[in-house]
Amino acid sequence: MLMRNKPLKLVAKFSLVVVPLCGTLFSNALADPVRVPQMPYKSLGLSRSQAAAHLLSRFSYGATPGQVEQVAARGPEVWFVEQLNAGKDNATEVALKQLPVEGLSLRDIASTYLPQNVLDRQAAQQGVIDASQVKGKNGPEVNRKVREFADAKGLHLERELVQQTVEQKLYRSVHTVNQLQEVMTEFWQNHFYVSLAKPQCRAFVYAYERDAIRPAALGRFRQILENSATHPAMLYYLDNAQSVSNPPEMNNKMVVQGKKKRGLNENFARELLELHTLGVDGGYSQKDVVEVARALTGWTAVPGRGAGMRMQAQIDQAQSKGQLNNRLVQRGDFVFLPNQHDPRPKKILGRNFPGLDGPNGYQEGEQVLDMLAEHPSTAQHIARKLAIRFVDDHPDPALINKLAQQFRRSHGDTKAMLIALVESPEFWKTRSSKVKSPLEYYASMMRALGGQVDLAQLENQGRARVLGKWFEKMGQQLYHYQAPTGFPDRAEQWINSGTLVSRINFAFALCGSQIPGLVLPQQQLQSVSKDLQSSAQYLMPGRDIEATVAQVSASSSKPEFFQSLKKNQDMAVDHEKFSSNQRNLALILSSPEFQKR
Amino acid sequence: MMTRRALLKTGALAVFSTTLGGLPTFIPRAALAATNNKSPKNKVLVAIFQRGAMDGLMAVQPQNDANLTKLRSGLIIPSTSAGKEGLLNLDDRFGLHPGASALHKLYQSKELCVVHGIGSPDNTRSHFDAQDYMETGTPGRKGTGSGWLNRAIGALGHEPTPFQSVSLTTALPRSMYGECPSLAVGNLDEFKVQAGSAGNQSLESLYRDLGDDKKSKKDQSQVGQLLKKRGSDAFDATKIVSTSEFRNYRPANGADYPKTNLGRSLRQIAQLIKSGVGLEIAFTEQGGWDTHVGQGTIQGNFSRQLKELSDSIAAFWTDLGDGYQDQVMLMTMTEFGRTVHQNGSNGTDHGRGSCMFVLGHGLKGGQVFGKVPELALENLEDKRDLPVTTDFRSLFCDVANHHLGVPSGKMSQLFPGWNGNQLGVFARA
Repeated sequence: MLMRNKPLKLVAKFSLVVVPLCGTLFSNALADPVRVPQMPYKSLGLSRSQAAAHLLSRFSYGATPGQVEQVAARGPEVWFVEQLNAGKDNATEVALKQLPVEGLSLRDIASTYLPQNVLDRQAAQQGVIDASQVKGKNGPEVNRKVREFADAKGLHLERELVQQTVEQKLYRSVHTVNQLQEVMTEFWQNHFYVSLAKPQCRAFVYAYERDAIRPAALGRFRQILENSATHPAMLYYLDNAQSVSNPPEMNNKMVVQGKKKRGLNENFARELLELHTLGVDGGYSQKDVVEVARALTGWTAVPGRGAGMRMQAQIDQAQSKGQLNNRLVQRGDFVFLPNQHDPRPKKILGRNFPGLDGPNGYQEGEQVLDMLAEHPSTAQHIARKLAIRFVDDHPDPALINKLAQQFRRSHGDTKAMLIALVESPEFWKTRSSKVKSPLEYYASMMRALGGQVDLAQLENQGRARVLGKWFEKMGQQLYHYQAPTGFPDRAEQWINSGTLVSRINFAFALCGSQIPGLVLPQQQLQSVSKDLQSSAQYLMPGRDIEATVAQVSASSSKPEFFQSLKKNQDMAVDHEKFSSNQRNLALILSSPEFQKR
Repeated sequence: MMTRRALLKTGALAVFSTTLGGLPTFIPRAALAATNNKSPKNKVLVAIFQRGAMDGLMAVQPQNDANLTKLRSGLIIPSTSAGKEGLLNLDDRFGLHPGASALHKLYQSKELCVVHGIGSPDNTRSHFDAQDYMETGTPGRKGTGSGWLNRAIGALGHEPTPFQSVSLTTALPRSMYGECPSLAVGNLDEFKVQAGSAGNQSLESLYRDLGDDKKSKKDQSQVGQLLKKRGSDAFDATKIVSTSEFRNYRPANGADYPKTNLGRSLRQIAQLIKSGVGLEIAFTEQGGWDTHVGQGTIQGNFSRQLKELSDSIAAFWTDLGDGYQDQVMLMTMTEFGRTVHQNGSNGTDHGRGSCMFVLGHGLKGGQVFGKVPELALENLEDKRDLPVTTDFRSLFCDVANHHLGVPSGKMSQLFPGWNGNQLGVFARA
């Protein structure tokens, strides 16, 4: 990386300009008053409890015991408005403090949680191990030395961070009272996707969701777009951090790092247009991709770990000496480097950009984001994705148009879009037409059963790995999807013969309390699951349960024998201690009806 | 040896006839294929991804290139001399690492060929990006949603079966992302519905009968139909792999698989092939090729890796025997090669070109394809790496076309934006 080698020279040579930026950019969206939506469920023949069940199945991770009746009694509209006005969730915040990463800044996270080879290298630098042992497959003796070194320095392995990134989601989806905010956090994270699968951005994914996505998840599109585009996770995931103006535009001042030549990198620009804003048929050309990439040259991050801290130290030093004199665009971990920016004129989607020099070059990128956020293709693209997420895999074009209009009218206000959704008849006509993703399946089961995620137990000796393995088998290794598209949101993605078998087995393992970290109120459940009928009513209130109950009872009078996997095999369900009540619950949860939302 | 017919008679069919009173929908076609000699058998492509980037120059080493000796003096495999283990001769130019002696036999019998200097036109040296590009089949394009193997299945357009596209990995590999249903199972021994005997039956009828009940109109919905189809598949498929024939499988012809994940995966792929359940594309992988430190020479890390790969492939091939080899082609792939020079820890760092192995009948076997220049510094990519002289797509599309039978006209679907030539590794092409 350029900054790793000669950060001060960089700063001094081009005497960058620190431009104070508007303070509201990272704050939450403008607080528009939320109006009470007019939900047409009654005229469409739904009872209040059916309406409540449907609403909860789509805009939360599932109903908790008694919640459908509660929401029906108070009015589905009241619940929805409460969710749109999500406040602080103190109980969840307190519980999440059990995760060591919670509360650490992005830079602290990145310099505390290190990949094995980085940790080895640091240990070697301190003479704890030999330099030849760095990056190798080392024996227990070397590993022990490195571990002791890490403990002494307060350092951790990056895979612990990966684990915590997953754990907070497993916790929040089940327990947060701000269910809609969490659902929208998942939606936007999946839209502006960054992946733990890519080592270069792995350390930033946790902070990305926490800082860039969740606080803005019910806010304006333009805000989330900017939060994402300027976050180190995205800058590294799609390589914009490395994108620098090509040599000709730099008047042949080639930017060279070691032996590697650097130049324009189109990755982020392309996905910005194709995935984040306009959509693949949104009316842009390859030329536009290149021009957007040029406009965004210089958008990079002060990375975590050593190089970034050295760079920051030098920036701070220069600033304290008055050498920078308002000449650097920096906001948190984002930094704009004018000397890497292409100052030449550009033409993007038919509009001319004169080209801005020095720190003003940053404004060009902002203008591009403005333009993209207001573009009709973006409205259409986001409307379509919302309709697919909340209504149907194949939404009615009329609904998409309605949502797109609302997007444009409200300038991409998420709340306005969500209100438009629940006011549309299409939403109420498509009950049970979506399949739950594995995360939704997991969380809805836990919520229906009144289960508790025990973070301390998950954190203990890496026991979260068992749960992680289940998710992998169900086809959703959380935060690890490799493509920048995010997980595809359609039934076929989640349901195949392999994932379905894993779902059924997961339900059984869960009901038998056989998954470390997931605690069920077994006594209470025993009293509500005396027979299939009562189990089904308890777990699927407001849903059609007759067929399920009838079918299961018909064939369940037969004698039961179990053919489990060997106990040492992965994901084996131990049936020995299984009660008939637990079995009733598991059968309902693994039924086709419960796979739908 | 369990033949396909034996399984159909005594295994899968027996299960279906006693418990269901019917055949799973995908069996008749396979059974028909088994009994009707005129109908061609399914072609099967087995892909093995060597994650971490294999050092192609150590696997298949140019002989007598003084440049190589100069750049990596600690990583040279000596030529075979009287009584001493060394390179296995492939042709005048190249020798195979002795760890791959089992592959050498297949090379000599002209069933195996090597493609050298193969890789991606995109010069990224990031594992993540390079694997991504190779698996999507679109170098330089990150947004491609699907994998090339999944698109190959789509282009074939055959009726899907639960075992048509299978990855012996816990998570679905990028190569198989996409529209066509693909099954990812780390180990088929664990592929069981564990709801108890009565529980399994209850669930099976629930899924199978979805939408058949006139009262529940809703399950005519697309989601209901999907759950019905995949649910039925799930019960069919798990029954097949839990038959005693399947569980007590004994490899044929004395095939001896290494007792490793890769060995097990290939054994289970062989089982699926022989079971006649419609397998067309199988995927598995082997990690551990990122040999930055202590790569070794004749012995050591690299050698162990290569021996596992080679022995697994050879066991698989022996197990298939004459009865099945004609149907099957196996191909290895790796995201890039490694530096020509050795680094400071007796290993190699991320480079560019590597080599791949292709095994099957109808190949121009016993040949090394591709161009490997003399390894003088000025011939290397960025003065450090074996240059990529063959685009991996020219091999992949050759195999897809001539082995799987994906029509030439559909190659742009497999590798959008590319119109290069096929490599020409097939004898009849």
